[in-house]
Amino acid sequence: MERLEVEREAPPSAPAPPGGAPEIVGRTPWQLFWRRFRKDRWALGGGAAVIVVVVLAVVGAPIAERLTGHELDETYIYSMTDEFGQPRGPTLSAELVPPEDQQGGSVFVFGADGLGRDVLVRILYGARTSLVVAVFATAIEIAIGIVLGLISGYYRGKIDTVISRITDVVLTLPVLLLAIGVGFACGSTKEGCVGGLVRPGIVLVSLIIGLFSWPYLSRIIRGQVLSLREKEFTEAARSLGASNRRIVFREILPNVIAPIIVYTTLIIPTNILFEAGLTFLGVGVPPEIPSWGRMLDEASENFDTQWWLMVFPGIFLFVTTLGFNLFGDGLRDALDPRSDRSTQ
Amino acid sequence: MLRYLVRRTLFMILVLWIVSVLTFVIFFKLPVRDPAQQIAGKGATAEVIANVRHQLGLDQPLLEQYRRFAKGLIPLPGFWLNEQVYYNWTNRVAVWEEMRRDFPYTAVLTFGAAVLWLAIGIPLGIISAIRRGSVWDRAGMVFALIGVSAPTFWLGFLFLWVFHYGLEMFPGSGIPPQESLWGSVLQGRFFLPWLTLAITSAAFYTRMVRGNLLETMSEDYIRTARAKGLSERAVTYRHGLRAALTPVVTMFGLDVGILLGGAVITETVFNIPGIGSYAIRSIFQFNFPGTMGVTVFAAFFIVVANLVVDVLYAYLDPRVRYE
Amino acid sequence: MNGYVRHLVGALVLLALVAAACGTGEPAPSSPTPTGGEIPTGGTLRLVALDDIDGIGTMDPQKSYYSVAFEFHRCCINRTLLSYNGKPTQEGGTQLFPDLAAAEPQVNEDATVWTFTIKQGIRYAPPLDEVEVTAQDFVRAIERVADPEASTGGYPFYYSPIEGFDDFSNGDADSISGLRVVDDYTLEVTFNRPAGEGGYLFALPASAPIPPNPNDPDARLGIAEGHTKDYGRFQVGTGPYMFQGTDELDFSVPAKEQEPVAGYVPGRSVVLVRNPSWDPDTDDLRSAYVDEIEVVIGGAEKELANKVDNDEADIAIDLGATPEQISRYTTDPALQGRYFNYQDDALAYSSMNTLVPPFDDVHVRKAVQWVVNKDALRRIAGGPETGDIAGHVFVDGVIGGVLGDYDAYPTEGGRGDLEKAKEEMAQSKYDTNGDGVCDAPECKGVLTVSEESETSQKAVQVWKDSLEQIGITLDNKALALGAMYSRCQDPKAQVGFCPTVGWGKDFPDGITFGPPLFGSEGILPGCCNYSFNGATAEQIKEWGYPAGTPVPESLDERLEACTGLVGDERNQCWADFDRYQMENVAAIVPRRFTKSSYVVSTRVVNFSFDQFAGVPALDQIALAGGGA
Repeated sequence: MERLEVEREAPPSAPAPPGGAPEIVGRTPWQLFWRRFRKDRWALGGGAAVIVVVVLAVVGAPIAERLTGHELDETYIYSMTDEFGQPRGPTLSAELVPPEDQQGGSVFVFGADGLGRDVLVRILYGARTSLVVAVFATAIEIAIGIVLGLISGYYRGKIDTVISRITDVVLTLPVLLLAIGVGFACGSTKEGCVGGLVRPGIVLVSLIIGLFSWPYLSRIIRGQVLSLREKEFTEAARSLGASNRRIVFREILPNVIAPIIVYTTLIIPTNILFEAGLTFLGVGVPPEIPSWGRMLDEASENFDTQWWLMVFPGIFLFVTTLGFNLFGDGLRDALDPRSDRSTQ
Repeated sequence: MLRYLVRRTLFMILVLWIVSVLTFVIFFKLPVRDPAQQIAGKGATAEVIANVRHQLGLDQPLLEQYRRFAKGLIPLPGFWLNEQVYYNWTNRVAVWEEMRRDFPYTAVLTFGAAVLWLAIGIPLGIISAIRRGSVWDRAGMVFALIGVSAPTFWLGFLFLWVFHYGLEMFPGSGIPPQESLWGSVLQGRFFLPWLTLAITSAAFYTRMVRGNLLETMSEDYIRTARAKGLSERAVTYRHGLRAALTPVVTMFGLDVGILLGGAVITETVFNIPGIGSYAIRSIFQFNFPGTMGVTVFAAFFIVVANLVVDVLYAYLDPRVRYE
Repeated sequence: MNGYVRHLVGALVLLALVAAACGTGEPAPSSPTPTGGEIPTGGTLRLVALDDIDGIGTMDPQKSYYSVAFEFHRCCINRTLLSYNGKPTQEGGTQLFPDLAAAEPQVNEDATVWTFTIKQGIRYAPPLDEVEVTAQDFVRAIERVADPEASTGGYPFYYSPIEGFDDFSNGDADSISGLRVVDDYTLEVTFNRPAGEGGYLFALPASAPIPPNPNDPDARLGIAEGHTKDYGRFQVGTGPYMFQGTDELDFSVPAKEQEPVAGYVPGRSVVLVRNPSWDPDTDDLRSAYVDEIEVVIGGAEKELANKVDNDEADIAIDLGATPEQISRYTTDPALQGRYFNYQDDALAYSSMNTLVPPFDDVHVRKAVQWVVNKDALRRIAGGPETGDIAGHVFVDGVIGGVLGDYDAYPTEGGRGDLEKAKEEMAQSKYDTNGDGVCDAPECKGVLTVSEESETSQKAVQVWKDSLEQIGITLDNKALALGAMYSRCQDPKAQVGFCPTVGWGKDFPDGITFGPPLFGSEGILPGCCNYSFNGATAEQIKEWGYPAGTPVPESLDERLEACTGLVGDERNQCWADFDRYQMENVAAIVPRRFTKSSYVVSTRVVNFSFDQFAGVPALDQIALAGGGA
């Protein structure tokens, strides 16, 4: 299509590759980047938040199980729900009734859910789900994006036209509706769909997200490659008789890695939100797997009285996406001085 | 220009055709469940189910089934969502009737939110750019990041909790059907949905305007304008802003296009009986004609928005030309 | 079967009804009558609803298959030959009374021939206020039931014992031979087997008369002709109310050009106004106090509950009381007068597949019956107000309550008895070392299909906790409601355990529980025998079960023994059947006889619960001061 290179999607201008930044004698691009980045307190904070969430998800969940004495699926129906089956809120000294007093500790920092399960433990395991789905989905996007972006940017011509048109079509799809459709079709029976190849679960959600979101990345990479292939160093390599493959992998790919990294940190939070949204609508990860989207969905009916069910998972979700966004923004600013705010 | 429009229209038709095929495959062929069985209801014998299958045309070859649905997508009287094929499989009401009934709610939701997010997003972006590095800039950017990072549905529930149940400032979710649409607007029933949608979108505009304005202000022609002795104010507003806002038009058009096809999550959270809620209901109730109608309808808005935006862009930005 | 449809149609509705509760176990409080004795008339009853009053949104008498729809048909729009009084069981709510029939039907000795005489001078709502109800109008309704395109799957199931019904349905006959119009006011119905349930069939909305079309007297289906899909919005009935705009229906133009009534927008709103043709002198059952009934459909549970709290609406008709309301209204003496709770004749249960190991062993099934903590299952659903712990399958309403508190597997507080469970398990071949804990591989990862809602998934977790104690673990697949039922119904899917299923009566007779849940006729792609009793050896082979799978006991003969009986004998027969299957088959674990609770506005007086539909009786409710 004749639409010129106008960025359509949210995380706007991709950074110029480090090689393109104005150089100061004696400093490598990496040093330059780091000097800028470490001054950006917001980005550092974001990075720290990301690290904290990752650590909590990986080791925090089992540790919390140990500390609280509450396993992921352990129910405290008689102790942590009232006679009407309504969950009890955060408490440091829950009154455990037999036989549940044999099970574990009486501290429920974030309260309990409708089965009397510890919300803290479930949130931490939910973090795993969110991160795993987001990373899977992002990996899928990147794989498709790199392959198509490189091919279409480097070979141009007919191949580029075809790939670009496909990209245009995918960008024009009502993505959310189709994603809900695939989630519903493949997620509503245990056999899944496509002859049982795609079964409900984390992989399915990741696939859905990845398959509907790759065009943004592919476009950015194509744009980068288009300009890189005209650069002197590519010309030089070509004149030295390097093969296409060598040029693509040795000369061009290393130079698009920086924007890919930046973009990755910015699409991970988008994907986390996508997953939470799909699960919220009931077509995301299946209910046996703890997830923030489902916890928030379950909280939606009584959020004024059972506020802890809404507030705590929501804060974790929010802090995680905010952390990634701050970090990604900082990365971009540090790599691309034109939009840098910390140099002021 | 004419050639361009013709080509674009052909492309639009191609996209809509692809959407119809995808929708058919995803919603119709993928499910392992038999829609006939679902519709026949509990206790139906094999014969009853067979009969329903015949009635729905499910016993015909796949291509023939697709052809029936595709015919209903031709925007001509007699074809367009014709009632023989396009009726709600659950309550048997014509799909077109239901969509016509629900669409105004989505339109009000979309345009109200759009006004709000432009009113928040653009000024904030300009201030952030002009006062770069100031408290305003920081505040603007923090707002932007919060908006980008917050899950829509969570924000919606928080607003309901605080502004409806807590402060009792606004009505809660749901639109009483006996109230006229305009009446609901006056009752303030759309305010929290607008706010929710606007905050999550405004953030993108703030970031974009700020980024574009900063970039534009370092362009040569702005330097020239400054050199001519124009005041900084005049330079910013007369020259800088025009260029910086042009891409916003693109984003705005596409956002509105997407939302007109159904603001699924916001409509769900606030129980707004719009096109998005209809889509969700159709999907979950195996109302395939409704799903098909709504999906193609949504895609239609997106492609039209694309076209409008591109044409508009040519007028706004003299650098853009159409071959 | 409408309990199922309630589940099928709206998870929300199910959740609401199950979550809502009331249960002290006491008989329902008697409705408050206003001081002074005189019940006021007039005013507009304002209802709110989560979902369409018909669930699926047709309100077509031959398609409606949902408790709230049943109520709107009964109370308001459609009178039938026989009907109910709109009261709870204690006040005769499950008894049949003549309605459009002039007297009780005459039944021959073996209950195969039922003769109805029809009241004279009953006229339809405008615009058909000149048309009198005659016997042919009932034939029209049953013929429409037999039309698979016009009716819902469950109805043919009940009406097929009428002689010639199936032939007509399949197109092999021009008319239903068992329906004979003796004269304008006499209808004779012949069944092909003794049919003790015959009267109930003519109290279902599907049997409500369909008027002829005065402009097209030859139209076989009368005014329903040409409205296969959408008769609901073109119907003309005989009840005290009609959809607003019914009088403006124009049957003189072809069906396609007719405009539907304004008073029913599916999924949105309902407005019922008085039917001027209705004569209270001909109707002993309906009081019809209010002038108008309006329903606002849609919204979150919370919003609806708030509206009733604040008097902005009178009743949340398909929601009842939320758990939050229940705890408030049962504890605050000032509010207790606005709170009602009734058993609604539905059973929440869990079903084991007798063809799938380890449940092919009766000892394992009995161990499961003993070990389950029904109290925990009830608590997570909302506590005692959501229902009474069930010890058998047939709800009181379908057997006249003759089983009382009978529980085949009584445990303290319904919390389960691990010792007894282990005793049973020890006798099973799957417990090789006899320690009462299953140690065979068959007990690990039993394929389980459950509904995906939060409430149901909570129940699955409680089940997992219970079963773990006797060594059974579940491989749970959570599916959307409709998908769950279709998996459980499908014998080829070989699902071992369906923990989150439910069943409600369609009319107060055991036939709505027995054959569908236990008979071989309940093994259908769309039906309800998930334990597959009655399956034949060939079927089992055809469904792909391994050779050597024991053929489960067929209960068909025991069921047939009951279908021909009438009255107390019939109830006792179903009760004996229930005892037999609980003690010898034990494939269904009854969890809870569910209850519905309702909060009403301060305007509501003379609240009543219609036991037939299991919903507040809209024709009995009045508004204080006539709604002024």
